[in-house]
Amino acid sequence: MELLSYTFFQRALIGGILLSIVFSLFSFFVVVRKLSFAGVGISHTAFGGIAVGIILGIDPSISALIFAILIAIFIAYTSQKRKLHEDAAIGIFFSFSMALGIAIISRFHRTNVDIWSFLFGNITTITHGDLIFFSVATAIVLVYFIFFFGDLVLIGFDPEVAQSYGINVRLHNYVFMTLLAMVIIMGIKMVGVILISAFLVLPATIASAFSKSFIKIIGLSVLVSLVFTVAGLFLSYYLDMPSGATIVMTGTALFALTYLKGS
Amino acid sequence: MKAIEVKHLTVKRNGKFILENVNLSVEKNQIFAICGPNGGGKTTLLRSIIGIVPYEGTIKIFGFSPREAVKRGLISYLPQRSPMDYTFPATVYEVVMMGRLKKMGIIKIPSHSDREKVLKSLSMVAMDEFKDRPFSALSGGQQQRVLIARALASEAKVLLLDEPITGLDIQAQQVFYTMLTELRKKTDITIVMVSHDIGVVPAFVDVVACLNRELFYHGAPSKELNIELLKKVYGGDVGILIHGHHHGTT
Ligand SMILES: Nc1ncnc2c1ncn2[C@@H]1O[C@H](COP(=O)(O)OP(=O)(O)OP(=O)(O)O)[C@@H](O)[C@H]1O
Ligand SMILES: [Mg+2]
Repeated sequence: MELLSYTFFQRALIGGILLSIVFSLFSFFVVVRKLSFAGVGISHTAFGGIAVGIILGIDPSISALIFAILIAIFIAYTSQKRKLHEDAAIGIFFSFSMALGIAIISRFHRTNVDIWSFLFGNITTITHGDLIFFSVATAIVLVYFIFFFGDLVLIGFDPEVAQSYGINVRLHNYVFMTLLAMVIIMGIKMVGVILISAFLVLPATIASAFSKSFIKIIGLSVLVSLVFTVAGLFLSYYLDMPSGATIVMTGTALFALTYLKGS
Repeated sequence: MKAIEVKHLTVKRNGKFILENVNLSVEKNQIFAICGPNGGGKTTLLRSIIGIVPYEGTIKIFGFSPREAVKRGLISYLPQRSPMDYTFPATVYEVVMMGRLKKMGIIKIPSHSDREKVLKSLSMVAMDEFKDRPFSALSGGQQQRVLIARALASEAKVLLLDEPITGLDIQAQQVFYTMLTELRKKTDITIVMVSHDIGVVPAFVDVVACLNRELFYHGAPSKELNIELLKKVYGGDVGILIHGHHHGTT
C-alpha cells in the first residue's frame, strides 16, 4: 500500500473519515425528516457561491458557505411557515444559483479553475487548510449532537410534544439547517455538488434496512458510511475517476445489496 | 395549593374568540375531565396550560406560570393528533425513553433509574412485552398506550391527556381507566383529560368541565350534568352521548 504514503492520499483519507462520521449523523435526521431535497437545494446553491468566490478572488469555500447558509435559513423559514410551494421555491432558487455559477464561470473563463472537481469531487484537491476546516466543523457537529441529540430525536418524532417539553423547535430548525449547510460545504471537495445529496441519504437508508431502533441505525450509519467512503477513495485513485462518483457508486452498490438481500 | 388554576382565560385567533373568560381550578390528585363539542376549545385550553398558545388571563400550575412549569418538568402533555411521524424508526422502549428527556442531565444518557422507570411505565400500560418492537409496526391503539407510557415516564405532577382513549378498544379503555384510578391512588398525580365519552366518564372522574368557548359546567359528574345542560353545550340531540356510545374517532 504505497498509496498510503502519499500526503495527498493521507489527507483524503483523514478528510473522508471525518466526513463519513459527520454525514452519517446528519443522514439519519435528513432521512426521517425527509430533507433530502433540501440537501440537493443547499449543495446546488453552493455552486453559485463557488463561482462568485472565484471571480471575486476569495476562497470559493467561504463564498459557497455563505450561499449555502442563506438558502438553508430560507428553507428553515419556509418550512416553518408551511408555505405550500416550499419545494418549488427551493427548486427555482437552486437552479438559479447553479445557472448563475455556470454563467459566471463561462463568461470569465479561468483556465486554472477545475469545475469538474467541484461538480464531482477530487481527492487530490484536499489541502491542509481543508483538513483544519473539516476538523473544526466535525468538532462543532459532535458537540451539537452530544448536547442536543435527544431534543433532535423528539423534534423529528413528535414536534408538538417537543414543544411541550420547552424545546425551542423553531430555533433548533434554524441551527440544524445551518449546520447541515456547513457540513455540505465540507463534503463538496470530496464528493462534489451534484452527488453530495446521495452521500447524505445513503448511510441512514442502508442502515435502516437492518434495524428499527434509531440508536442502532445511527451507529450502523457511521460504520456503513466509513466503509463505502474509504472504499470509494481507493477506487477513485486506482480507476482514476472523480471521488464523488466512486464513493456514491460504492454506496449505491451497498444499498442495492442490502435491499436485494432483504427482499 | 391548586394543581391548576385558570382565571379569566381568553384566547383569540384572528379576532375570533376561541375561549372566553374561562375560570376553573383543578385540585391536586384529582381526575378532571373536559368535554364539549368539536371545535369547543378543549385542545386550545390544554395548549394554553403548557404555554404554547398566546392567551390573556392567568394560568398557574402549582403556582408557576406555564413556561416555568414546563421548565421544571411539572406537566406532561399527550396531544390529540399531533403532527407526529408514526413511521419514525424507534423501538417502543426508545419512544418511552423520550419521556425521560427532561429528567436527564445536559448530556442525555439514560441512567439505570431512567431505564427502570421506562420499564415500569410500560408495564403500567401492559405493553412491556412489546418493548423491543418497532413503534411504527404497532396498531393505533397500541401506539396510543405507548405514548401514554411516555407521558407516565416523565414523572410529571400533572398529566394533560387530549382524548387519550381515542382508538382504544373497549377492553383497552377499561384497562386505561383502571390504570388512571390506580395511578391516582398510588401517586399524587393530577390528571386532566379531554374525553367525549360522557357515558363512561362519571365513574372514573372527580370533576367534569364542559367547554364550548365558554365554560358551561364545572363540578362533580352526573349530579347536575343533565340532559338540559348537555343540550346547551352541544346543541341538538345529545341522547346518544349519554347512553355511552363509544366514539371510534373524533
Ligand atoms: N392554529 C389555529 N389557528 C386558528 N384557529 C384555530 C387554531 N387551532 C384551533 N383553532 C380554532 O379554535 C377552535 C377550537 O379548536 P380546538 O382544537 O381547541 O377544539 P377542540 O375542542 O379540541 O375540538 P375537537 O373535539 O375537534 O378536538 C376551533 O374553531 C378551531 O378552528
Ligand atoms: Mg381537540
